[in-house]
Amino acid sequence: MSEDYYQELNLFDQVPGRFAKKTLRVSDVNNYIKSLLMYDANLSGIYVEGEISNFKRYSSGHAYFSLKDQGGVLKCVMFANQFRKLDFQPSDGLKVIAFGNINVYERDGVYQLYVDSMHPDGIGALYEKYEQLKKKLAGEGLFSEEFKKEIPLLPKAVAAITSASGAVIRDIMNVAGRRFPDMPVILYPAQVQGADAPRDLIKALKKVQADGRADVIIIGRGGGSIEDLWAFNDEALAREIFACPIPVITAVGHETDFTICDFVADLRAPTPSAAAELAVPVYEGLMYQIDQYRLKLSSLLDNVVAIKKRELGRSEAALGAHSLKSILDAKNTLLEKHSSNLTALAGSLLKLENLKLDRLSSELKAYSHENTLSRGYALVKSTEGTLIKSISEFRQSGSGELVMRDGSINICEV
Amino acid sequence: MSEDIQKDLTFEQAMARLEEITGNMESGKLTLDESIAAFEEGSKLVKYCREKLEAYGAKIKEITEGECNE
Repeated sequence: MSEDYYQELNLFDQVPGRFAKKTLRVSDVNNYIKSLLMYDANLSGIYVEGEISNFKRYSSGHAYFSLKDQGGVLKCVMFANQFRKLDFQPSDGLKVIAFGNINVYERDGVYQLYVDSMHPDGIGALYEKYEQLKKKLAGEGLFSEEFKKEIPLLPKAVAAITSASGAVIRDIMNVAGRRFPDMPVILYPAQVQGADAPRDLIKALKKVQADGRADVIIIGRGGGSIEDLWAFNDEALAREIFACPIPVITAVGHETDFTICDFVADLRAPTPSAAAELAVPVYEGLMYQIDQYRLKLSSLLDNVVAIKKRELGRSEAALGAHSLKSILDAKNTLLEKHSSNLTALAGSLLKLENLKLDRLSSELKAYSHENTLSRGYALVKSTEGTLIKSISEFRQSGSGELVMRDGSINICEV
Repeated sequence: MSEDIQKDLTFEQAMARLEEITGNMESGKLTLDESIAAFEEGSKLVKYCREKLEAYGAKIKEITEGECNE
């Protein structure tokens, strides 16, 4: 294609100044202008700043818009391949710096900026600053998990540092009120954008600490441009949040916005409503939990008592069935043993005595009068059975008994 | 085991203690006396927690600070 343009350029060069005398086709004119602009080094590889308007993106993926400033409008086109590489969403009103070449779109007879790349105006410098600060504070360990304070389960009161007029405080109050109707939410108003905002926010943070009423802080603002949110990338504010002994929840802009304060805070919420949810517990939920503990305690104690009762029952049974009976049995056995020993001992003693008696009785026999009688002697007894040893004794009783070996007869003096 | 609940006990400390107490009772390792003591302490904690929650009703719901930007 460029060959053609060269030829045409040459054609016109060969006939300088003769434009007016020739009747040209529209496309000739446009082609000529195109060639002029294309080969103007001042119009290629240029940066153009302006505000986006009439932004449109077609299903082809190509984006069409204008850049404007107080002085005028410049048509722009950005093809799908380039557009896909953008790290932000262009929209009307956004100030940008676009990089590309000026060229002519012959069909419409317009020149436009063919955009290769684009970034929000000012963000380059801001972004650089942001990255540097982020790196510095991260290096100091200010983002480290070990410094994150725990959000209390049940705060005494919630401090909200934000604009007094914005939707943020309303959202926080609504959510807090719904979850825990009597939870005090104390507003500490502060400017949330502009040059004074960081100073103002720091002042409010200090006031919350001096007040000592709240034990959790929500600091934040609604969505806005990166410049609007910039106060929350302030180093002094970030350090103040880090140093704050009360846990801080940040809620800055939308879910996709990350500020330095978000990194340094104890907890980051994607939105102010979410921050309120993180800070304020649900009243009924806590009551229910406590009630569950109450029920559990009673049933657990019942269990323990039941278990101990069973244990006692078992001990009792063991005591009755085994210990006492066995002791008794042992005693009984012992008693019986003693008793049988005693009987045996008594028996043998008796036998011994009997033997002794037999011996004595035989000895006695040997020395008795019966032996003497058997040899022919006789003895005289009185009628009473007493032995009479003399005649005079016999005469006194007058009668008696004569005993001999084979019997006895009665005798008397004639 | 504490005799009475300290006044500066936070809600979460009380809740954590409740969890610990019920855990101990569940383990079955406590004696009867210990179980009763645990139950007593737990009941006090339940009462304490409920009171903490109910106390909010008496507080002022919203206080707006006017003197922040002087």
